[in-house]
Amino acid sequence: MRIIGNLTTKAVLFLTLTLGYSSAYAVVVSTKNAWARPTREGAKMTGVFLDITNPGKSDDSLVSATCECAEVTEIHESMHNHGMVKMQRIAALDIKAGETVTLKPGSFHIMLMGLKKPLKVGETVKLQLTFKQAGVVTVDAKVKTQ
Amino acid sequence: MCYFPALSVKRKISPMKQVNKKWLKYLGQIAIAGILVGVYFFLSQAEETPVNIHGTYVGKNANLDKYELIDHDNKPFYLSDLDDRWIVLFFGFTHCPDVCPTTLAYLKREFAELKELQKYVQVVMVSVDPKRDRPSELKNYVKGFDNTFIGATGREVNLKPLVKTFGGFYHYHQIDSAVEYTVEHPGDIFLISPTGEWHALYRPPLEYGILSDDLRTLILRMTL
Repeated sequence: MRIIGNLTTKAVLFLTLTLGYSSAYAVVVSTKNAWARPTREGAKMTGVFLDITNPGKSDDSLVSATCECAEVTEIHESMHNHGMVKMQRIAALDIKAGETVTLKPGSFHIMLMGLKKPLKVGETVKLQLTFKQAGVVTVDAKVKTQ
Repeated sequence: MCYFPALSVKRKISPMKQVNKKWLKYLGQIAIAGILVGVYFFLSQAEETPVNIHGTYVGKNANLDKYELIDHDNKPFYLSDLDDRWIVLFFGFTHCPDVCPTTLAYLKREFAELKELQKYVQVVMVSVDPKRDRPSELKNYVKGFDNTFIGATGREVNLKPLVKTFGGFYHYHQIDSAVEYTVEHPGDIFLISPTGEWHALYRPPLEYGILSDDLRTLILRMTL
């Protein structure tokens, strides 16, 4: 019993320390300049763009995004190759330690599909971005033209 | 005889051997020939690119009367119908949420820059996704940027060779996404002269002001 008790104490101590450690060094990402392109009546899709910075010491990645304003939200990339352009869905967007990734027209972007109503200039849309390490981050994207 | 007075002078001061004189004469002739060739190329170049533009000059007949399209009012339409204007053409599709709106937003801004010269220019977006882009949707899409912009599409038999004329292609890609498929298409902007010549191309990233600047130069030269 004494041994088990000792082990329990050690385990508790270990857990406390590890949890304490991880919360003290929690991975955070910061976002800025989030904006969404306005849409017209009838348009179902648009793009959201922003800067994501990972000031931490470990790499992170954006794995998904959601918005109440749309049925589906995906992470996409537009690719240019010898005058041709194409778009592809990407599973995750890496944000390396100490780096900033800019989601911008013609490059990485978050795509809102099946918009429930048009996005008008001056409005704000709320998005939840999920990062592998940092967890869920809420972003307010301002609807504006570039 | 000697072409250069300087050489004649030199001869008087220190007479050279016959063989050296001959060489100098040849050198003089070669230099003159070189200059003439240079001038010829300069002039022929100047003839091909009459004005300096920011875009990449092409200068190729686009045969626009060969490709029947449908405009956003569902009427037959040939790009050659717009023979009194400079055509700013690009290929896209309305389910394109990034590149096409970026290009249209750019064109809207460049077109606005033209002010009093707008009547000499027509912006046209040709959709390479006729299956999804009905004329009415196309109209809604292009007019969302500028009321004067024209949307058009067509049958594959006309669209494919039209896109090929501008050195590109289009291809449908099934992707693991809610959009089901996406279209790979040319991302460049093509400038066509009122005579139907593919005059220049503009490749992204597009710098603000260069297209309107070129159009202004070309229009003013034409109307002078």
